[in-house]
Amino acid sequence: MSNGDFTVRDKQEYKGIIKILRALQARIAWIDSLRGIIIAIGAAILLFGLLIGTTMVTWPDSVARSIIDLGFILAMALVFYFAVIRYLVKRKGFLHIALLLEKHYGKFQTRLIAALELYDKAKENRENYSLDLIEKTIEEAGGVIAEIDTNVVLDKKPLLSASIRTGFLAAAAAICFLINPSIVRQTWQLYSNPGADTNKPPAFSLTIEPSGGEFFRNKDLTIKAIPDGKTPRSVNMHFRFDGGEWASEPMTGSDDDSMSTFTYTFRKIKRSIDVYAKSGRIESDPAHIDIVDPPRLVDINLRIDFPDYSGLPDAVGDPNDGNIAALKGSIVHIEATANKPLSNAHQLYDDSSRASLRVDGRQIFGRFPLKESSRYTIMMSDLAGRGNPEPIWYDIQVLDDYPPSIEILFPAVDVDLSERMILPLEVYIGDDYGFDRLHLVWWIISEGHQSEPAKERLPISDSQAPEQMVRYQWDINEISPLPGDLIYYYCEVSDNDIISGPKWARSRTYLARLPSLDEILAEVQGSQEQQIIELEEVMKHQEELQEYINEIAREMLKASEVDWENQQAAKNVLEKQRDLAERLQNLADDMQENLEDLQYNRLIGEEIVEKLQELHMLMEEIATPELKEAMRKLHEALENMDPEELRQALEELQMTSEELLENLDRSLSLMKQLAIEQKMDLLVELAERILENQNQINENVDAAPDSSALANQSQACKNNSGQFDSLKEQFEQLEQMDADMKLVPEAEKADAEKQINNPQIPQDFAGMMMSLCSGSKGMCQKRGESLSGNLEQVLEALRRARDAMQQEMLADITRKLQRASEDLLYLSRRQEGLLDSTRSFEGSAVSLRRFVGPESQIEAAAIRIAELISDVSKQTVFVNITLLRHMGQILSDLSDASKHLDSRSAEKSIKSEMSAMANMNTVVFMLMQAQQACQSSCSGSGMSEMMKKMSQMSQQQAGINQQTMMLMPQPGMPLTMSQQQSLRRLGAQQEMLRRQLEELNDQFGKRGNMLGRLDALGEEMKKVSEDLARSKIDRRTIERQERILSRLLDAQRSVHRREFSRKRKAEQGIDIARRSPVLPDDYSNRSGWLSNIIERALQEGYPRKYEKLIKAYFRSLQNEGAALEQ
Amino acid sequence: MRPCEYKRVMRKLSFAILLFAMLFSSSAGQQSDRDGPHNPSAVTIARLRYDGGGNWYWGRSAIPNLHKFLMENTSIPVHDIEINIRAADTDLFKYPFLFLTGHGNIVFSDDEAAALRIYLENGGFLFANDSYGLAGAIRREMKKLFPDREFVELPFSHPIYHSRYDFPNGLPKIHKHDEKQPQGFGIIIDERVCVFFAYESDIGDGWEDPEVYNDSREKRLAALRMGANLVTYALTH
Repeated sequence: MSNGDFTVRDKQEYKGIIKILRALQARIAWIDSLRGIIIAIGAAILLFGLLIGTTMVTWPDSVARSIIDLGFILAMALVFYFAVIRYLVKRKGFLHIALLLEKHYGKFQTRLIAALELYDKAKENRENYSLDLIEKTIEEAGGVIAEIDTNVVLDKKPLLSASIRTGFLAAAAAICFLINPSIVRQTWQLYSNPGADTNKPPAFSLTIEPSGGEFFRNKDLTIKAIPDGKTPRSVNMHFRFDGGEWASEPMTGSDDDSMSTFTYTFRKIKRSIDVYAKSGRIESDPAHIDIVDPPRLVDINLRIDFPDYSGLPDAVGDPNDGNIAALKGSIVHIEATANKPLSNAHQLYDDSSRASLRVDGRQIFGRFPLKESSRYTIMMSDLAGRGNPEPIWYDIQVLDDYPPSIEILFPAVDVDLSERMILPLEVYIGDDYGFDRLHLVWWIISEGHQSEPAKERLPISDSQAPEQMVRYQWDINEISPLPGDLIYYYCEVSDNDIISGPKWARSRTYLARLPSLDEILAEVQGSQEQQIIELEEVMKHQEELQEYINEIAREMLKASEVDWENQQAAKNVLEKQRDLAERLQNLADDMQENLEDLQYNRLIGEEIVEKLQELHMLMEEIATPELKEAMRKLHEALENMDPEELRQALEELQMTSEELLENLDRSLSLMKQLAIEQKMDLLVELAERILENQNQINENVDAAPDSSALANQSQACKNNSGQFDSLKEQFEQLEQMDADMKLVPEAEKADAEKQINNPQIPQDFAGMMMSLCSGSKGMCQKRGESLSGNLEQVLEALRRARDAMQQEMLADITRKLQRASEDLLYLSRRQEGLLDSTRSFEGSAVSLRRFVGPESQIEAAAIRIAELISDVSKQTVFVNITLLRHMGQILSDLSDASKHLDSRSAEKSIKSEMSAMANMNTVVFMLMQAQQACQSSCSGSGMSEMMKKMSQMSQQQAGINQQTMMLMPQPGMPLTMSQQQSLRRLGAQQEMLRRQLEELNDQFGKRGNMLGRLDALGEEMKKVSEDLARSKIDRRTIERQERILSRLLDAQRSVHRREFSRKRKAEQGIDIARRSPVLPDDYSNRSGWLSNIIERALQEGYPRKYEKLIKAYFRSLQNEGAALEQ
Repeated sequence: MRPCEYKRVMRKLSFAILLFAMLFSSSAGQQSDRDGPHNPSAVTIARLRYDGGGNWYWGRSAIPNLHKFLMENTSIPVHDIEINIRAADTDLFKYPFLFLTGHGNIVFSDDEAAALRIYLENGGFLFANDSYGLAGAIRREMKKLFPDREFVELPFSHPIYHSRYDFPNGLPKIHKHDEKQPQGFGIIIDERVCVFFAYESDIGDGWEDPEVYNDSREKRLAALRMGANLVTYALTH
């Protein structure tokens, strides 16, 4: 290769290096220029800052401003040249750049600089370098430079530094501008136009808000003056209304958002206004504000359509009251009036939802359903599109339809069903808007298996009435429960809410149980036996006590004072007597319970019921008032320690105790007799049921389609067989009970025994059960017929035995009563004759003694009659204690008469004879009454008849009540003619019922009192019938009717309850004066109580005002207490 | 101070403040107090229902008439509605005054007895009216509630006879019944009568409409005044 003769490739390599270096050179120049520009900007900011400072200090004239401007421009030109242009014009050389690269990239190993220097020299090559070496150097430098990133040599730190400094300057300038923008503007204006004749601007300017537009009439308009620049000391508001005279008022300064402002408020502005603010000579621009009327409501009326089910009539809200309180589902109609014609209106709810309203001129119409509680307002726009400011919000209160309530008021306890299996239910239902359905729900648990719940709809007489009592006779026969089955039931009611859906309420679940006959009989019988044993024990104890009393009385006669032993003995007597009286009362209560059980289950006839009732009363009367009085006197005597008083008290107790013993003896005898009568009744009843059951089984067998139906009857047959066994046992018990008393005639008893022990009956039962199981219908029918026939004979035999027993007893009692009354009548006539003789006797007093003999004969005869009466009193309850007492009085009078005759005291004798005669007549009358009562009882009339009538009357009253309720008019609705006629008819029925009640009262006389205040009931009936006749019925009428029915039902419900009614005197009371009782010491120790309380109360830290009141309150209490105690 | 004492004092203070609020309120305030249903401090007299068949519902016009009397003659705010409630109802504690009446038998279940005891021990008041034959049952049932307490006959100086109207001779005799002297018995807990049993007086029947028993105006007025005394006592003790 020759000198200066590079290859093309070498040239290209070199050009590549130069190209890269040139590009790098340009980038370095631009970076430097950019830094210069930034520095120039910073310088400009700095210089402008100097100008601002100058302006703040002095206000230069135009010449000075021109010089300053010139200097500013010159300075900026210099800065620009040296900082920007210089770098663009005079760029860094390639060698400088190559040096930078070499410094950064050691791998060049000075080849880049060498390449640049040697390439030029190689053209001439005066030094005669090796061209190959140069080529090699260029080639290697080109290779390296192509591989490296040349940008790394760009130094950006100066650029960044300049930017930061300038940035700080710019930020400072911005802060200055924000602090005082006016001085910046003024400086700019001043130096940007140096030739202009610019005066120094004022210290501030004023602007006002609002600067114009519309404003609503009668609102407070506040004008705000905002100073720009220095805050003036005061600003005045200049204004005029409707182009009138200008006026001025000082404005009030205030700091609003860290900016000083001045305000002035026109209260309830009514007219358009021109306004401007002025402070010294500085004024704001004027503003014109038009005052206009906003649209607003002047009237709002609501009409509410309640849901149909509620039965409520449409309601109109209070005038100009948009608040709503109504049932869910109600439709609300709005009718409102605005003060001016409207373009549109809508309802706005508080959840921002809206509903459009219809607009007609000033009128607004709308309707909406009530769904939930909320608030609403009416938004509207006038024809100019102005809305109503500050609209009134109205409350929407959705009233709840509460769930109904229900309760079973009767029986309201778990019950044992009677044989009739009718359970009267009394269900209370209540709801605010009425009912839809009322159900009776029940299920049976039979031998451990529970049936599916069944439901029956009960009638509701008035589904709109908020409260009512539903009475329903539940015929449980339809369910056909077996003895021992458990029937659970409850009632449920739904209201008539068709908006939210009906809500249900459910009563408590109760249990009705059908006890087996054996259970009832065993229980009652066991109880009766226990009563007899108890009575025998009481009697035994009373006899012992009687002995004891006699002994003490004898001791007391000897003693001159009451020693400790006598006192203890008397106390002992008292305790024992009290104990026995209490046992007797308990016995009477048990007897009453048994009676109720028997009545409820219809296990005995009404005549036995009546006898048991009388016996119960007798038992209650055994502990006579005299006995109680004697016990009280003994107690007092013991306290007073007076021997004479104690002696007398013991004597009195002795006498009453004797009477008690007699009564006990009589009661025991009657109880035993009644137990036999009752047992006989039970046997007949049981036999009737067994026969009835058998006939039913026979019918079922006849109707049975297949063998499985026959097999179903086997259990019933088995039960019936069991009952027959029970009958046999009961009959054996009867025979034992009657062994001593022999009330059942022997022939009839033997016949009944023969029928009951007929061997064919158990054989037929066994055969029938086998036939039922094997499905042999023919055999079943044959056995069934045989059984029915034999059982009928058993029943007939038992009936004959019972009737014969009753007839014989009645005949015996009647005969004895008859004989006693006839004998007593005869004695009465004899006594009358003797009395006449005594009166007309004119002989010596000694001769009076000749009448002693006849008088003693009368007395002896009377004793025999008394024994007869005492005997018959043990057979019948209708010979009461009063009769026996009168008889006792007769004997006493006759004895006295004899004594007086013997002592020749004619006057006293006459008195005793007269008394004896009067008592004889009374006893005769009472014996005749007892005879009648006895016959009446045995003939079936008596209490049963009365109760039957009462039952009929209750049913009639219930019917009248129901019909009256149906005819009850809606409030404000007149009655139609036909309704009035119906009411009059009901009034007549009510009056008829009242008369029946009166008749009942008259017919049953004293016994009628057991029904309680029937006279008051009659009055109630009279008022109701009058109301009905006048077609004037209201809530009170209905309530009266309910009361009447309630009393009639109560009268039948239980003997116990009747007793309360009998005794309950609702007559007005008379004030009874007496001493104040004293609280026991435990309760009366109140000293310091109030002061303790007040001390503790005041420690609770109540406000002073309350403390005073509390002190005053307690003080008044304390004073009041003290005054009362005085 | 022990917790029970603290509660008792607080209860008395609450009643005292309530009483003052009633006594010293302005006439406008009185008007608003009588508004009834919207007044949260108004009293509702609740009729206590019970089992046993003693006619708990006896005397339908009694409570409405007492309400009327209280509204017309006292400043006690009253809800003019009659509530029937059982002792085991959870709402029992809403009613500071319970009215029990009837004849014959009363039975409280164990739950009812327990709830009633808590109610009475904590400020509640029960007025038991003997409308005839109630004495045995009420004594028995109260023994079930408070085995450790007895009915005591209240002296005529007791505040219950003077809390609003003066009854210097104790309980007025309204109805005749057994013609015995009327007696007011109380069960006292922490010196407060929580059960008042009116025996042989029949205050409850005396509240009824005049035509029900044809009672004289004086008798009815005495019964209503005694009722007002009971309500006042119940609210202030």
